[in-house]
Amino acid sequence: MSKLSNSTLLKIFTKLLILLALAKAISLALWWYLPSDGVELNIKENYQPKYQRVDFKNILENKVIAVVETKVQTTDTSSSISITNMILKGLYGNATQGYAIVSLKSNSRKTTIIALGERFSGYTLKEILIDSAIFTKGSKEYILSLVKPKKGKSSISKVTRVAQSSDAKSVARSDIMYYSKHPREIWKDISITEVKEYGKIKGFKVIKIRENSKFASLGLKRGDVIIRANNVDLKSYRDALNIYKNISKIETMQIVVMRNNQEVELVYEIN
Amino acid sequence: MVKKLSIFLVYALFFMAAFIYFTPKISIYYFLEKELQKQGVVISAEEAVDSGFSLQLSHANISYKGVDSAKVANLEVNIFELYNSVNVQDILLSSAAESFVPLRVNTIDVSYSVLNPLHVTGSAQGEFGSLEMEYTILENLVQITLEPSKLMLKNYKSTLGNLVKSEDGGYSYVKTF
Repeated sequence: MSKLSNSTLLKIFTKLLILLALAKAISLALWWYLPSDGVELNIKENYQPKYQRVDFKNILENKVIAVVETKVQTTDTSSSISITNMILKGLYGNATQGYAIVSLKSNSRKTTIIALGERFSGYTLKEILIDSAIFTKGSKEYILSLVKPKKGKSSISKVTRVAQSSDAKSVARSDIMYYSKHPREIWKDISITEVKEYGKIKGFKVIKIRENSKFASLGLKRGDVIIRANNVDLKSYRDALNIYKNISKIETMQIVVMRNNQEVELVYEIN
Repeated sequence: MVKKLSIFLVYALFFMAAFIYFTPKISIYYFLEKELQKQGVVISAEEAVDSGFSLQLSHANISYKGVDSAKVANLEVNIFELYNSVNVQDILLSSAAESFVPLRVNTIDVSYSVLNPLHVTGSAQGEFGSLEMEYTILENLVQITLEPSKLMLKNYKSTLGNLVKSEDGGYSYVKTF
């Protein structure tokens, strides 16, 4: 036994074992302090354009006050807000798609645009008819109608916008598809650079635009800072690229640019 | 004396090998991921495997500032302390970069050795051609020398316009951080 403990081999083996234990102990200490999970990109994708264009002219021509007719029953005991307190101010679309502009009688100036399937005060917009909209709540259906107001009275106030606006311009989808397939062609006609404020992107500035190009015909000018597109603030490259990636699904495009310290809205209908 | 020094070196090498083997490489990788995230770089959807003396990553999506930038088929990290390297294979850049560079990069190799302690060197090959890279640690200086491919010369003249053309037909880029 004594011979064994004094053998060189055992000494070396013991030293190696100690080194091994030391290495393992240090790695365990490292493991204790290091994170146990990594980073994943977690950004909600939104392929639906956040902007829907509503023809306000139609609304203004049909100044209305709502009258409620019930198809099944006129009252709803489960809601604190009765549908009789709702005003239908405008309609846009047809039976399968579209939007309704509604407000409450208690605050008729505050309007809400709801799409088919969306809810307002507990009522779900089910269908849009020529001069009325069908809402559902529970198993009951309600019809909210547009009725012309008495002369001189209108529940609709003038539409105001913070930004200047121009009429919608028409853009050929074929042009968009061409540019989406040939992105290099974009940069022959236009140059854009990020604009930062306090280290954060606040928009993208047009630093060059070729005369007589498609982009120039869209109303963009050198020096414009594009700050918003389809109601999405362009605060990152991802925001801009999301619009670009989903351009084929968009039917209406709204761009807000800063021009001479004023917001200017440019609207395009893609067809 | 020489014998003692040799024995010490053998023990030191054994300890380093054991330490490299036991090091929680995936945890270190997670730590580096969090550091990269501060710079806006996120590596996601990857499979990380600790294979003893190296770390293998596969099918990684790399994004910069929230924008999908590249997909990497394989990435191998070797940390031998005296010699460290990162080898990346089959990189497909995002289509958003199509207007600036060809999208497919075959390999990227970056290495650091104690024999050249003040520099990190690297090389890459792909549809763009080939390049050599050197990062000087003390000066925070990056020097890249590019040998462009025919495709690059034909279709990406505007990108090459940002580089300095050398007499031998190559292009160089120098940047200090």
